[in-house]
Amino acid sequence: MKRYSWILLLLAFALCGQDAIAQRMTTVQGRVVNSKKNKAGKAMMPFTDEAVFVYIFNTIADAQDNLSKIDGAQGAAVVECNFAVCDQSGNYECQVPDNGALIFKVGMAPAKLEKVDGRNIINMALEGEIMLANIDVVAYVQEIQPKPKAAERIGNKFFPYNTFPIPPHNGRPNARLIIQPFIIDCTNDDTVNYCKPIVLDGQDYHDTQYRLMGFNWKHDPLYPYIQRRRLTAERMSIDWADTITIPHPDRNYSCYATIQMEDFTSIFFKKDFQIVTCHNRQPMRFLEYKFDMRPLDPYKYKEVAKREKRNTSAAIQLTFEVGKATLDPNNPENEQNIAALQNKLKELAAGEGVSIKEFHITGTASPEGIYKSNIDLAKKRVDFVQQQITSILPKYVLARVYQNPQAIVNGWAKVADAMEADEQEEIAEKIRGVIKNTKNMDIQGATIAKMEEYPEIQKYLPVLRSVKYDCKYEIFRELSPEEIWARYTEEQQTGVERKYALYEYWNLFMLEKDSVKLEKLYKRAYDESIELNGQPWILAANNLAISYLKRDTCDVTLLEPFIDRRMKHVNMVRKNIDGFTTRTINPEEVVNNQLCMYIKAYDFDNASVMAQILPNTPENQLMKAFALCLGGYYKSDKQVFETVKNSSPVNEVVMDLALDTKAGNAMAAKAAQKLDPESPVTWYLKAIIANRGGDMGYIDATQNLKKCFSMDEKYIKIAETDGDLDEDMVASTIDEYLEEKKMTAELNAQMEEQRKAEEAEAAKKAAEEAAAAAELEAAQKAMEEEAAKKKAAEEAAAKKAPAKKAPVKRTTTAKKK
Amino acid sequence: MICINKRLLTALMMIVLFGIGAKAQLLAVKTNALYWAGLSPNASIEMVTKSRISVEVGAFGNNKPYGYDLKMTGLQPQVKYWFNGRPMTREFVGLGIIGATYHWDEHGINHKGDALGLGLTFGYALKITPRINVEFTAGAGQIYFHELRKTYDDDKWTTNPDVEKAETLTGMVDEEKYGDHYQGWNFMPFNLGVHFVYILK
Repeated sequence: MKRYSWILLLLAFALCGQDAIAQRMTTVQGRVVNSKKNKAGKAMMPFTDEAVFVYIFNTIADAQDNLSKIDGAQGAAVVECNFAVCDQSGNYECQVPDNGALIFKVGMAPAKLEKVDGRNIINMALEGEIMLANIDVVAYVQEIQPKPKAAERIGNKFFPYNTFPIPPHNGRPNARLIIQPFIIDCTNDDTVNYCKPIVLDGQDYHDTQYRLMGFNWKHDPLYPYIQRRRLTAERMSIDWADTITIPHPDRNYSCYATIQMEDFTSIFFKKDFQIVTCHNRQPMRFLEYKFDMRPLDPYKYKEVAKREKRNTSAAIQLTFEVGKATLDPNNPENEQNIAALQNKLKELAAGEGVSIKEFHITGTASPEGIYKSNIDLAKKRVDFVQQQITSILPKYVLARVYQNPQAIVNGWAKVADAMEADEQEEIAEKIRGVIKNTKNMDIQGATIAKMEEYPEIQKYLPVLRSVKYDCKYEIFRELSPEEIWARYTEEQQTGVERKYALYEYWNLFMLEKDSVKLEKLYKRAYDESIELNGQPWILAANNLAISYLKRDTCDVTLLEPFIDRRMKHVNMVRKNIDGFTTRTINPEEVVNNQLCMYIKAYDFDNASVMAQILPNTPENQLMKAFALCLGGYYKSDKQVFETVKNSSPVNEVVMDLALDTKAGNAMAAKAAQKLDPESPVTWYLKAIIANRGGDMGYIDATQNLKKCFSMDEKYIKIAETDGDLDEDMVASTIDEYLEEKKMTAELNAQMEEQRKAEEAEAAKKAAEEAAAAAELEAAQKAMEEEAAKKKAAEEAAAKKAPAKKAPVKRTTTAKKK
Repeated sequence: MICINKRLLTALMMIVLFGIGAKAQLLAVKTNALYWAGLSPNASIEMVTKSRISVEVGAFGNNKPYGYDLKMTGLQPQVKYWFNGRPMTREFVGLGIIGATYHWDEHGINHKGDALGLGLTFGYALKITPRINVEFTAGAGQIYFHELRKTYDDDKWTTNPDVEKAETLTGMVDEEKYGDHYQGWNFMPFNLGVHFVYILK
C-alpha cells in the first residue's frame, strides 16, 4: 500500500485542487435594466431613480449566506464587502473570482444572486418597482403657497427653479395670472435682476382682449411670455426654471416672486413669496484644480533696439517789452522760464542715442493795433526767443535741427469765442457783427476800439498772446546686457525711475531673478509698450498674467488683445500689412493662460469659450475639462465628467455628488472612503453624503460636521449657508460643537488652574524646605563658628598655660623614664 | 313734433351711422332672434366709441306676421355702457330710443300712427368664440304714441257717422275726417331679445 499511497495523495490533491485552480480574478461587466416599464412607459431601460448595487463575493457560499441580509436592506450598502454601483446607463464593472458570485440589489426589489461561472459579461433585467417621487398634495392647500427650494450656483451662473401650485377656485377664465420672479443679493438685500416671467391668461380674458380700446398685441410687454396653457378655476401646477448670470460669484443669492392675478377691471390677488432660499448649493465648491500656466518662449519674442520717435511740446510764459522784441527785464520769471527750457533741451541733447530733429517756437499775438506792425513784431519776438533758446545747443547739433519759428496774429473772432466761453454773449455778438462788416483787420480793430465795452474786451486780449514750443526727437541706443543691468541697479539705488526701451526690458527679464521686482518690471514694460506702440507687448503681457495667476490678483484684460474669438484654432499665422513679416494669432500659451485667468475671475462663460479654442491635445485636456466643468457643462458631456472625476480623489467625490442622483450618491459614498482623514474637506463631504441619505444619515452627518469643525472652524461659516446641508441640522450641530468647545475649554482651564495650584504648592513647599534647609545650614554654620571660636579660645588659653606646666611635665616624664 | 316723418328717421339713422363711424373702434353686426321669431326682420350695427361705451343702431320691420294684420317699421338707436371695461363682454346697461310707424288692424279698430319711446335696457353679452357673442337683453321704457284710430264695419267707416262723407273726385274717402286722433304714453317692455353678434374688426 505504501508504494501506491502516492497515487492516493495525488488524487486527493487533484480533487481538492479543483477549487484552487479556478480562483482567477476576472473582470466582469454588464448592464442592468428594469424589466418593468418606467415612468416614460418604456421597458428594459436602466434605473435612473434608484441606485443599483452589485455586491461582490469571492465564493458562492459566502454570497448565499449574505443573501437574506442584503434582501432586507433598502438603498444603502449594509454589508461589509466590496460592491460596485451601476452608472447612469446601467453599466457596471467589477473584479471577481471565476467561481465567485454577484448579488444585484436595487431599491426595494428582492436581491438576485448570480454565479459568475467564468463569465465575463453578465447582463441583468431586474424587476424594479416604480418609485414615486415626493409630491406636494395640493388638494389640502387652500391658498397659493410655493415652498422655497435650494438652488444651484455654479461659477457666475445661478439656476433658480420652483413649482407653483395653484389650488382650485383661485384662477378664473376671465383673469390673467402673472408670476414675476426676481433675484435678490443676500448680503445687501439688493434686487439684482428680474427673471423671465410666466403669464397665464384665462380663455375669456385672452379671447376678448382685442376688444379693448386701442389694443395691440405688440404693445403688450408681457406678450412674449404668455403660455399656451389657459388659466382655469381648476387646480394647476406651474413649473418654472431660469438661468441667471450673477455679478458676484462669491455671494449667495435668493429668489422671490410676485404672484398677481387680475381680471377685466382690477387686480384681485398680489403677493410676494420667497421661492429660493439664501442657502445656495454649490456643487463645484470643493473642486480641486491647479492652473497650468505656460510661459512664452522669450527667444521667439525677442525685441531689438529700435529708433523711437518722441515728441514734447508745452507753453512757456514770457512777457515782452511793449513794442519791442526783447524780454521784459523787470519780470524775473522770463529768465527762469528761458533757463528751464534751455536746460531741458540740453538734457535732451545730452541723452544717449538722442537726436533732436525739430524744434519750433510758435508765438501768437492779439489783434489790437495795425495788423502789419503786429505781425512783424510777433515775428521778431519769436525769432528772438528761438535764437535765445537754441543758443545753448552745440553747433553740430543745431545744424541738424529743423527750425521753423511761426508767428500768428489771432483774429477778433477768437476774442469773440473767448468772451462767449465766459458768458459775455452780447459783446461777442457785437464783435462778430463788426467782423462781418469788413474783412480788413485794421478797420475792425479801429471800430472795436471805439466801442464803449472796449475796456471789457481788453481784459480778454492777454489770453491770446502766448508762446509755445514743439520739440521732436529720436532715441536710438543699443546697450549691452551688462550696461542695462548696471543702469537698472543704479536706478534701484537712487529710486529714480527711467524709461527703458523694449529690448532693454527684454534683457532685464532675463537678468532679474526676484519675483516681486520682476512683476514690477513686467508691469512697466506692459504700460510703456502701450504708450509707445498703442498695443501691449505680448511677452510682457503674458509674463505679467502668469505672475498674477501665481498671486491672488487677476486681470482679464491683459491677454484679451491677443485673442481673436472668431478663430476657433490656436497658433494661426497671418501676414502683416507689409506683406513680409508674419504674426501669430491666438498663441496657444496665451489662450491657455487667459483660460486660467477667466477661471480665477469666476467668469466661466468666457473660460469655456477659451476652452473651445484650445485644441484637443493631451496637455490641454485637463484645463479644458476643468473650464467646462466649472461652467456647469459636465452634465451633458461625459468626457468632461470623466476627466475631472479621475483627476483627484476629492474631485471624484465632488463630481459624483454633483450628479444629484441616488446612484451618484452611492458612488460618492464609496469614493469618500479613499479620502484623507486628516483633511476637513473629507469630513465636510462625508457630511453632505450622509445628509443626502435623509433622516437615516442625521447622526452621521452631525458627527462628520463636528469633526470637520474641530479641524478648521472656517467651515462653520460655509455650512451655515450651504443648501446641501439641512438647515436645522447645521444649526444644532454648530450649537453642540460650540458648547462642547466651551466645555472642553472650561475643563482645560480648570485643569490648568489645578495644575498651577499644585505647582504653586509644590513651589511653596520647595521654598519652605529650602528656607528650612538654609536655616539649618545657618544654624550649623553658627555652631561651627562658635565651636571654632571656642577652640581658638582654648588654644589661646592653652598656649599661655604650657609656659607653667611644662617643667612639671618634664620631670614627670623623666621620672617615668 | 307730432308726426314723425319717415324721412327724418332715415336722416337720423344716417347721421348716427356716419357721424360716429369715423371714431369707431370695433364694429359688429347683430340681429335679434326674438324679433325673427316674431317674423320681424331686423339688423343692427354696433360700434365701440370709447373704452366702455358703444353705440348701436338697429332697424326692424314687420309685415303681417303670422297673419296678424300689422305693419311696422322702426329704428332703434341705443347707447350702451359696459361694466367690465371691455366692450361687448358681459354686463352692460343701455339707454335707447325707439321710433316706429305702425299700421294695425284689430277687432274692427284700425290704428295708424307713430310712436317714439325712451327706455332703459339691461343685458349680458356671452362670448361664444372670439368673434361671436350672444347678447341677452331686457328693458322697459316709456313710449309716446300718436295714432289715428278708426272703426268700421263691413267696409263702412263707423267712427264718425255724422260727418258727411267727403268724397274726392276719384271716389276715395278722406280718412282724416273720419278718424279719431289718439295720443298717449305707455309704459312697455322695451328691447327684449336674444341677439347674435358678429364682430367684424
